[in-house]
Amino acid sequence: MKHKLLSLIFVLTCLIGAASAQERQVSGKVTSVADGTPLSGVSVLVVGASSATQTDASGNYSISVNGNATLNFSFVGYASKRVSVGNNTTLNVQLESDETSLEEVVVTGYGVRLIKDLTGSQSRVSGDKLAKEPSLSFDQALSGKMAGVQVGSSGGTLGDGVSVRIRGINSISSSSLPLYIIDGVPMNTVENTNVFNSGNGTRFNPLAMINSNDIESIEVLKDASAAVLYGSRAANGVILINTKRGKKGTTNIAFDSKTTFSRPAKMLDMLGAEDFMAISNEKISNASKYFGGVTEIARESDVDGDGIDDRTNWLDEVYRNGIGYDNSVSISGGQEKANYFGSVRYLDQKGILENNSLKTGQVRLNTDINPVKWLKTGMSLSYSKTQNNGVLTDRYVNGVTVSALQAFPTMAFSNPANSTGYNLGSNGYLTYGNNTRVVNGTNLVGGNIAHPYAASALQLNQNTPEQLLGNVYAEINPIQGLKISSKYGIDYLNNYEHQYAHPLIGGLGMSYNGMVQDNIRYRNQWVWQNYANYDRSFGVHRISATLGMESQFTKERQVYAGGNDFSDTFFTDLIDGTYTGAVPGTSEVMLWSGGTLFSTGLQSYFGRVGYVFNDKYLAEVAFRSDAFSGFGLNSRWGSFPSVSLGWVASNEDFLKDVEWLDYLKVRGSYGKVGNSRGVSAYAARTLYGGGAYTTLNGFSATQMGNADLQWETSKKLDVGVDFNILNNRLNFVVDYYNNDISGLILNATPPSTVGVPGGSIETNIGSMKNSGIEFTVNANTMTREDFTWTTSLNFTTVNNEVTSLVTEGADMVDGASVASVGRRLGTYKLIKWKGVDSQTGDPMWYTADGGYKTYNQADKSWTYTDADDVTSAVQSGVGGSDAQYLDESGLPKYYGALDNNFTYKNIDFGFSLVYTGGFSIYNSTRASLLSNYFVNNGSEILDRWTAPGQQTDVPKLYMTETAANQTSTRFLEKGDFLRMRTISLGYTFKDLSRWGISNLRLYGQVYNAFVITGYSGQDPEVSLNRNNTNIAIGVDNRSVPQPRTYTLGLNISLQ
Amino acid sequence: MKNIKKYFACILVASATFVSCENQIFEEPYSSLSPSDIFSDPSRVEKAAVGMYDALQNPEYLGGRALIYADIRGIDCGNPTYFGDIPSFTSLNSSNGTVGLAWTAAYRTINESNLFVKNITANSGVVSAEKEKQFIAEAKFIRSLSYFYLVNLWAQPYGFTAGATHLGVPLVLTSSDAPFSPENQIPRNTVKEVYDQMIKDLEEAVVDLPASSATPTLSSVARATKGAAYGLLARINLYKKDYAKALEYANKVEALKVFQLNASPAEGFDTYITPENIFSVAHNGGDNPNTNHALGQHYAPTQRADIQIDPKYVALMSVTDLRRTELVKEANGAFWTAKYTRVSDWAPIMRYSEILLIKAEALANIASGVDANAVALVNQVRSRSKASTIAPATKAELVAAILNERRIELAFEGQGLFEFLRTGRNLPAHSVVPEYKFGNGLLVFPLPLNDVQRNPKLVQNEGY
Repeated sequence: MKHKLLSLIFVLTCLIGAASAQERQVSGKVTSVADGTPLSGVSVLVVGASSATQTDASGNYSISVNGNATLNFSFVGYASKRVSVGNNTTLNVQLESDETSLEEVVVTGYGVRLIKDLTGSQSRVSGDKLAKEPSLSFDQALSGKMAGVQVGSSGGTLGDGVSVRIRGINSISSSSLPLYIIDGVPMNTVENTNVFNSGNGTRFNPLAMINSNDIESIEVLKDASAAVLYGSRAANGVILINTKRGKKGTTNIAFDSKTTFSRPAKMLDMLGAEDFMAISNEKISNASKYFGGVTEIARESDVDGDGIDDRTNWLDEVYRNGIGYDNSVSISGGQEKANYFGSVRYLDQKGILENNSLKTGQVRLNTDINPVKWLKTGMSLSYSKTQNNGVLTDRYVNGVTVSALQAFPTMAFSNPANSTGYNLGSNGYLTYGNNTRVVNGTNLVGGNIAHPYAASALQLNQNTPEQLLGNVYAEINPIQGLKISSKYGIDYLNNYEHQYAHPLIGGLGMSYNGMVQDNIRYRNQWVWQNYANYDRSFGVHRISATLGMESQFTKERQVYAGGNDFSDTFFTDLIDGTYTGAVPGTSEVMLWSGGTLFSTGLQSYFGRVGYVFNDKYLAEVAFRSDAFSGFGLNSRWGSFPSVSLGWVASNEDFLKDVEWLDYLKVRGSYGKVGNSRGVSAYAARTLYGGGAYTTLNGFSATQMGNADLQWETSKKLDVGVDFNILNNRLNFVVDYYNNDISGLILNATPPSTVGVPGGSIETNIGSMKNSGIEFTVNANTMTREDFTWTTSLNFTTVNNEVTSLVTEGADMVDGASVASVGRRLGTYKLIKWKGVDSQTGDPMWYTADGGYKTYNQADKSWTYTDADDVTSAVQSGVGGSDAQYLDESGLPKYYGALDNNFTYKNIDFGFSLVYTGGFSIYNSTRASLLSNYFVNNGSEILDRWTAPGQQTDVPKLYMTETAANQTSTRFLEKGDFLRMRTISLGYTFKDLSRWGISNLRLYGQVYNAFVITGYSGQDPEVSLNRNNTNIAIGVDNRSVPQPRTYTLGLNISLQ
Repeated sequence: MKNIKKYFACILVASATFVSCENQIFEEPYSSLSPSDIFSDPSRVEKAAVGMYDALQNPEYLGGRALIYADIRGIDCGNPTYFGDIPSFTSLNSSNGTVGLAWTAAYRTINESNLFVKNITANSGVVSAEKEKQFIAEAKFIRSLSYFYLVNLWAQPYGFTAGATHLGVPLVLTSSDAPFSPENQIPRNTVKEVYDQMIKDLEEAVVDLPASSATPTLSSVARATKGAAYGLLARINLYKKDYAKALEYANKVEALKVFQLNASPAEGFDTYITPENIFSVAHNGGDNPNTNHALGQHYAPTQRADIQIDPKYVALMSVTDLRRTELVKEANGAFWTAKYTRVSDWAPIMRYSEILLIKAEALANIASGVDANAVALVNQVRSRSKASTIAPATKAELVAAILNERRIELAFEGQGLFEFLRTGRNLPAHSVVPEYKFGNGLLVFPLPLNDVQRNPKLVQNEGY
């Protein structure tokens, strides 16, 4: 680059100081016809003379000529041009591309295709749209960008996973995440780098390791025709990530800088101190006969010794304003025989949760070299490292979002008597001051409450992932139209996980007198692809074909070590001699080490032939054959074929005269693809593994195999229409899709009495259907001088029906949700809530037979009232058999987005709305906020029943009573929402070229500006498909709310 | 020259295209062996026998939780809210996941024994005949022990109907090769059939089990011995109210002359391997770290501290009783048992003091008046803990005193609720739990709803 700058200075000097020779000086600028970008490195020579020069970085040249000379401009990839100078001293030239394939091409599986030849359903989003958003990982930024692609937002914990669903959920027990391919090479299928707490501790999404500024475009392959070349992994759709590469003849330096400020968008409304005390004492008073007549448990305390009653707003203590800095620089360019793209990014983010922060550094270098005409080689290489300081939140007993909701507002934050300074008791949990926690041997709190702040401040839940992603390739072009390629790619994903529990914090730290657990995970994957592409036109016939093979090998090793009983709280790592490892209270030593090791292999052959006649009739057949080591010996190989047809009707003579119609293509495809994502390495085998019994070594059965285990099969039908009207001002894409999925790999559970290891056997047994409509319209809504307005709208519907499962009549149950034959996946099956008896304040539920049962809280007994209103005492309450199927599911029926972008002179403004509807959420958070234990409550509890005749939905309070809050329709709510996802405003400074700046844009963006929803919880989207569960899709359980993020950004390009 | 290079490169790539890498990328597992790898090698077979105890150590079942459920549904643990509806009875239903896990774990343990017997029988002769017999006997002991807690947690007690003809639990005695076969939809056997099977297994096993040891070792306490089988037979017969048999087997334990009470009641919980410990499920810092299910995690105030003990239990003992001074702690405003203080504590299945009390109860019930030997046995147990001796005036007083002594001595060792059920007594009101009359369906666990759905032959317990 320096060289370029120097030459620029040199040229400028020449321009100023020259003009002294006898010969004339001619100068000018060479640009590209297509987009007007300056071309650098164009050779300029005087025909018939020996003088020659090259254009500089800005496309400028200057050359001496005699008389009426002719200049020849030549540049690789462009048609040469001869221009007579005449009397001109300035001569600007535009060069036209000479590559016919530069009619727009698009990246598909194992090659590129002409867009106009596509017969499958494929959507694209350009990288700059993703990079603008404050999301840590690009997958979250895909939200709303394309029809058929649904992205569930993660909450406000940094690095949390994102669920991406293409055309509905296409699996039940296996993963339904798509396959990610970067620069042609499949990536590791890891959804969470972290393993502690079975993935319910801190989570980290490895896709956050990719710099979204590096992404040129993303292609989403949705139907069988588009995705079939990925065979056994294509059923959930395929996402192709194409990173940026240098363009020949250009040089560009880009600098992107973002500063983000974030806040929790919504927080739960909790009781204040006075209400809390009144409610708590009401709970015990109402139940005092079970508690020895005690009527007061909540009292004022002064634990922190400041002379005033203790008050703490725990939510304020655990949430904060987040701030983030994200800076990246890229340099790209190209000469005739080589091009390059290099980038560096550094990001430093502090999350909305206290003690949650993340730093990441990313570098990339992409190069392509074509030393001789018939050979092209290159590489893509990126390295990324992140330091994530996580915080345990929901799904964890001592998680900060659980304890901050339970902690009393009348508790102290600090206690000078504790050596940590925090209000911690001798058991490492919050102390209760003058509150009464135990009555008659019953713990009214229901356990202990962790100090919400100290738990994250004094302990560590870190992970440090590293990823080296790269590939090298060679492509030879022996005869016209034929390209033979070999590509070798690696994805080395390592993660170091580090957990430290403080000895003065209750839980592991106190149990083990300080504890450290470390896990190192190495997951190394290589892929070798060899394939040939042939593309050639013969008159009106165009043929394209692909044939190839691919081998993939993945090996994962985990090594685990830990230590406890540390000599001092100074030590928070495994340092020789700083811990004993003793089981507290004994001379025995804990064994804190272990690990796992496994590998998988995938061997594949694939091919494709496409034929186009007269640019009107298109046909394509394709296949892939895969063998996966995890599957049974009886069924290791699978074949995946597809066929597709297209008709460009607008090229027919009879439509040529239709003025308003500019383009019309009808296409259809049918094919079979598979899903093997999430299948474990030796899933098909019967295995014995380690079964040590204290100091005796042993073996015990670990898995019962199934030699017939194979992929889930998805037969996909797609019929689509693409059409442009009104002078291409409106562009429509409409698709109907139908996925018929069979052989779902279910963890088939035989009766428990069989006692199989793990309780289940992976079996291809279920089936399911997804169908729907996708609709996209892109419009140049208005174009005036200085003003443009573009609109983009997309809409997707998802119909789903489970058609068979393991055992006839038996649902697969996950909490309140089921997979049930004949019903939508994620259908709720719940006991129906009848309400509160206005005379007694007791809760009532409907029974399966149409009567109802009332729970008499005062004497803990049940009555049953039949359809004739006759009431009798019964022994037992409502139960599983009273649960009824509801016509409501956690799986949305429709979703989509609306984008509008406006530019006026130098100002740009845009907003993006996303919406999702037709689903319900089980608000488990609300149930826990209405707890009858001695914990803090949500403000809804103020509506509790207190006097006969009162109409309310909150029953009379009784200490430790749980029946009223049991799972029922009481906590089921509609989840439909409309979110103002982004609003952005930018200003672009033009005419800065004299400073060497080709573009400078300043912008501001609000992410998650507001949500319109009837849902009463924090956010209707956060829990949607959390942890990629396929059945309990919409359960909200004390998750971290989504942030609202304000971004200030700057983009500068130098050329 | 240029063309030669071109074609050379072409051939290279083309040949690579058709070379399969299948052999290089499909590897055998590193972490597991196949059943045939195991049962063809004598040293591996011995380890597979140990593996049955690893299965017995299942944290959801006899690793600790099965004992906890019996006690928190008794009267001496208040209402430990950590366990949700399990101790409070009223809202417990067949969808309860925790109960389902325990049921599944019980049958998982049973299957490991059945599978072992099936594999070792099919590969007979790999180990010596003597060892083969011993391992099969151990398998039967484990199966019998697993059924004991299963039938008592999920079915009404033996005395619920005359002849125990009411529903027990399904008896699964072989490991199935075809898990999804309808043959595995086994109905519930009667309680009598389950007891008969447990007794048959133990009577067969006791012949081939190793002798118990007067100088106990890890294997003599943590693996099945003759003493453990006789002891369990004594307990099972006591639960059947077959006092003669209970007495017979208690005497057989005594006759081994290897067991005795320790000087302190705490010793057996502290060092685990003592002449008082007949059988325990062992744990150590190696095979069960960081578990949320360990007895010590739940009971110890310095650990998770989920289970406090009721002040009324503490009041049963005089202030000088060693079980009061050494085995009860006061912390955080509550009482706690000191039987379990560490994450690696063993699960004590049977101690010698229980044998003495079984013998006392059998003698007391057989006798028409006050049996002096029974009184002596109770006093033997009490004296060890420096408690005052008893001198009951009537048979009824003696029986009550024995039950009271069992409540004190065996508390939190997994028989709390069973003590009421087997003797036909109502479960008294305690903490927030009202009285439950003998025979109430809610006193036994529901069968997991999932299993009832998968196996239509399973009849749900009354009240669920």
